[in-house]
Amino acid sequence: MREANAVDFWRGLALITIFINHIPGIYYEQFTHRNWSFSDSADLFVFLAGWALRLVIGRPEDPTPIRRVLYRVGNRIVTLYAAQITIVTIAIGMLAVAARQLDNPLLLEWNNAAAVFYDPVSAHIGLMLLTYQLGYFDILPLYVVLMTVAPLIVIIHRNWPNILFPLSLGVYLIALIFEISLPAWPNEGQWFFNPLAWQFVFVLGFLLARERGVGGYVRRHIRLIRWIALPILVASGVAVVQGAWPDPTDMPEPKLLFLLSKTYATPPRIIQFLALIAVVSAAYPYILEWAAPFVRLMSRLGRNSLHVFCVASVLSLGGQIIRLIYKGDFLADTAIVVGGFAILALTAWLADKKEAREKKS
Amino acid sequence: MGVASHWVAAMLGFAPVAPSHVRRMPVAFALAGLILAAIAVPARTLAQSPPPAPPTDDPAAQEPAPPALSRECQTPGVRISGDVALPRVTQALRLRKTIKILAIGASSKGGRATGDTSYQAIIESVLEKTIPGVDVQMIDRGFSGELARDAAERIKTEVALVKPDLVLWQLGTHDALMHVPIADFKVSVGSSLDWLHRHNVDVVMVGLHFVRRLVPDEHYQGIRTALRAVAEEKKVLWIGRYEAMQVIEQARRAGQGPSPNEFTMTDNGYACLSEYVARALTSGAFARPPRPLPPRG
Repeated sequence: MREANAVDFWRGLALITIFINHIPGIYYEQFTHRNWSFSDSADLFVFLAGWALRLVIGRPEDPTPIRRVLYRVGNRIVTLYAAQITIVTIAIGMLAVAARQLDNPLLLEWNNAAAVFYDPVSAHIGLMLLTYQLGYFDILPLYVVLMTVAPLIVIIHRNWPNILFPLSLGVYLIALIFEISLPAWPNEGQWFFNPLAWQFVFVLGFLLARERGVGGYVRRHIRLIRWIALPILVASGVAVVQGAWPDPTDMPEPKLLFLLSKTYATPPRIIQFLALIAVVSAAYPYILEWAAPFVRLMSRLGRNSLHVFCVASVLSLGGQIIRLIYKGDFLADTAIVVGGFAILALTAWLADKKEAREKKS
Repeated sequence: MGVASHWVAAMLGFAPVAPSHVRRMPVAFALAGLILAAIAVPARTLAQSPPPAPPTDDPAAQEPAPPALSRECQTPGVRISGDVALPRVTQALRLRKTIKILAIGASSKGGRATGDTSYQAIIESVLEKTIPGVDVQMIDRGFSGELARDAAERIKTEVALVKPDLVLWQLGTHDALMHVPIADFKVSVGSSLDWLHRHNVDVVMVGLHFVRRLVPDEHYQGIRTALRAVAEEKKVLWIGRYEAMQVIEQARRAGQGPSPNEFTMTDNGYACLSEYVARALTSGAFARPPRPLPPRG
């Protein structure tokens, strides 16, 4: 079991905010950082997934053999896929039960679930292929795709370390310039998180985690970078709060280079995100000093991120249904958040216990 | 074949056999429906029913009659849409013979009755049959369960990328269920409509679903009323799905057949929605534009 550390702490915090943000309309959503930021917890989640890939490949002086990397990444893909199928199945069941119990067919359309109930044959094929994603249950499919290309990232990085960044950037720019994405099916449209764009966030996490190359450069110049990042963070915060970002239709072509799009993780969003982590990461030592129990709790959530994420996803949907029943009552919102935190903490504690028991045996 | 497919096929003259639940409909109810249908056609539509136009290549010059409503979707004595022109669509018809529609809000897959064909696809098909020579491009960016405030953000991005002539926006239901404050909802919708108006994009708003259980729900009704008020204030074409489905449901309950459950009603709502939207679009596209159109930015 890892000690509390900054990466797990921020990942734990991201999971908590994802839990709250996935209950639209809840009172406490106004306190999450997306209210003053272009980016949100999803960016941090994907970035830290790339960062965690560093743990899989080992240190430069003691690299994990590529076969071992493939085995671990393969295991991870299977786990992620199983997790996605499990939580989506539970979510569909929850919606169906709620629709029956409340005699309200509108629940069958929540979170993009309509196809499951109205076009089940195609929807189940889509669920299996990950081309059909429920709303708020759409980040794990991205993660599966990213982990599928992770061995390629590792191989390129090991053999041609200078190529990875321009290659990833090139794919990202082509996706944005030509508006290329993976198609959704059976619903029309595209993936909510475009893997061709979000791979860049993943690769940035991977590269910045390394102590050499870009990661080393950033570590050596972090003070200067924070001074550059601060005004970007303030300006973007003002733009979000004041709604002052230029009109999308006034943007020059190719528009996606200038728009604020979550689907395409557009450049303004990534730049703001990098500025955010550069500035906010400075706060970790102080938070550790003044609120160590909080850091330990968040770190526990973060180091068990998949378990916590899955439970949080299901709890968020439960929270939506509770809000419907209690008509968006403030006390109900508070109970959802407090109860949700408690269950997430319990989930992480149980996962830690399980890991400790497995290590002993 | 789904109900909606039957309606389309029937309108095209290819479906001599009615869908199963229509066949089960009592004869008395069917007759009453036919009589009511004659009364139900809005006066404006009757007034607009054009004389046969000479053949021309300009779709906008040919003023077709709006597609007829199927028997099941008729709502005697109740207005199910506003009376608003769609100048951008008219202009698109005239200049390009193409209408680009961005569907946003609820997903295309709502409605079991639609089977493999989304209701947007049915609208596209009906419009292309109704308006000779026109190419309707439906770009579906629907996402069922989306709040109006979230859709508002996406609308701007999608309009910038897709450059539609018309936005078809299903909204309100999820906001009502999620208890979004009515004032916030009005602000979100109003500001989006203002933005679309400034960018010369026509809008058709599709309102809330009708569910019996939600009739006494004050918040649900508040959102419904607010949506209609915003539509009228901003002079935007709206489709009153709630009002239509309420009338249809009452008619069915008054009939001799089994009373439909909430799930069936929601299905049928989607089937009828295709017809309402296609009809309102045709009427709006051929209405005289209230003002000259500025050039598109």
